[in-house]
Amino acid sequence: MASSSVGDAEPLTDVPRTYPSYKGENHHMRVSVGIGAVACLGVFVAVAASVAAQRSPSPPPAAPAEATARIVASANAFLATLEDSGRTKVQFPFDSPQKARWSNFPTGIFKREGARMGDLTPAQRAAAMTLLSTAFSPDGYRKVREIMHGDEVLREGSSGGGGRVTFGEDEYYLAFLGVPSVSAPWMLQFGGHHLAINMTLAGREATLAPSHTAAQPASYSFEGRTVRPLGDENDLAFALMATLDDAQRKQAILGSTMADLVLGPGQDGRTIQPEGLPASKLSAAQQTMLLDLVREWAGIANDALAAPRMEEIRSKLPQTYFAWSGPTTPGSAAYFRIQGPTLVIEYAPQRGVDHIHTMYRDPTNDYGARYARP
Amino acid sequence: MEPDRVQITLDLTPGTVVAESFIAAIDRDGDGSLSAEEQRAYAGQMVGAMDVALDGRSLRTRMRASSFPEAAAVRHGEGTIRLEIEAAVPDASPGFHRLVFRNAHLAGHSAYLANALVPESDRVAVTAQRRDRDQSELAIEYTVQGGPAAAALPWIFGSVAGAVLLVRARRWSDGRTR
Repeated sequence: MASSSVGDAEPLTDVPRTYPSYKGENHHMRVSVGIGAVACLGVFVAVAASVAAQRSPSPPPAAPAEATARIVASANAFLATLEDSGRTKVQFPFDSPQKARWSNFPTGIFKREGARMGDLTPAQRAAAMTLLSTAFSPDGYRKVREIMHGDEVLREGSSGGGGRVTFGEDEYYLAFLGVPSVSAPWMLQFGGHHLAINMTLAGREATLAPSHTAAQPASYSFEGRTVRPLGDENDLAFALMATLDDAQRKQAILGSTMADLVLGPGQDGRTIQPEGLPASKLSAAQQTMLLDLVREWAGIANDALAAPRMEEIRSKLPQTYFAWSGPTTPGSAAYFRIQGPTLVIEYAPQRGVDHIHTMYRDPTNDYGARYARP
Repeated sequence: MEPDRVQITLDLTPGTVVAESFIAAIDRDGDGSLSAEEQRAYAGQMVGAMDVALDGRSLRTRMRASSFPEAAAVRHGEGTIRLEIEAAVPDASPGFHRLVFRNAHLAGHSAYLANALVPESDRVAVTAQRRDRDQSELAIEYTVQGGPAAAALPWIFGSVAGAVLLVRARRWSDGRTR
């Protein structure tokens, strides 16, 4: 492996909402929509609908098994670019403790294992990014790239954290737990500061739980445009809140301050008591908005693999809750949680709107617990 | 879980800004490491600052286990002290109960998160969680359906995830590290 400069293999092509990426896919871009200045219910609904409408530029999803086969092929293509020592660094046993070794912290505070992006050659790095673009949906891949690039922005503006903390796109790591397989369970683990994607695949099934996305800065400029890696999560949540009537709000809003994620890194295996407004008390339109919000996390996965997961979440909506803590005025820092029998999503601003932590879990299937072991 | 006990997991994560003073408070002999005796003493302070009451009567708590991170991990902001605490429940009779947890450890310097975990038994149903503004106090209301008293409360209470000192830690983290 050799050092390569940031973006050698793939420049971040963050341009207007629909743009051709280096792979020729159609991605859409997060742009500030000025929702903070709007206080009209009807407009909020219109904005939410607009965001949702722009979210389906992909071709019809392939079958899950076919998607897994393509991900496995991409994983093997990446492995083929590595020398033996590189492959040893990347591969771990499926039940290795490495599975739970992920964090929101940057390099220098938390030590990650696997292939460090900054240590890869341009060809190796390109193969790694191709794997991610295959494993993730176009929206999910864009989100990951924007979080990584946000860390690059942080690096460029940083005086360092006492010399040991390192930011930037080079500081992301790729690892496999188990052998990439079209049938047996294995995990693709990719993460760095503010990002931990733990994708377990098992033939036709896949789960992203647990995964952590975050952003700092939550909004930055790139080539003259505003990039908000978690902007849709924020906007869709505030749009949903704006549709709640007084009785719904009373149930949804928790009376206490939520200073951070409850089930963040290090909190595996816990299931908290659900709180807030039951989705059964939402109108059909509000339920659709809630599912659109959930899709911001579940939809990071390849469309073919995300579809059955979304269907599972939809089927459990009657047992799903939406809880909120903080102001309801768009542009404010507010915590929210979506929790159902197989789902926990948390969105937790860190003392302001420019630093966000989020968490995605499945209490029944974190790390693919439901899948048969090899 | 034991059927007649309340179990509490108490996490405490100091931020980096306060790490040195925090370590110094535990490391009484100043040798740079946190000995078993020093850990026990500090855990005792944490438990002593906690109050658990069921239906208005204080419960006697007992520490089952504890784990302390290395001092270096605390300095990096990723060290969490975890205490496993339990309390026997003298009255696990069917009907409505109210459990109140208060945590006064490092009050004024801490950010708290307190949550009930899902009961393992379907005979126990949490009906409400009521917290004060900063979550240093959590009241859990629940009902126990009829059945043998000894098996009436097989549930978990807890995860008092005290990101203690988090407020001060956040100042540092806003300076871009968390």
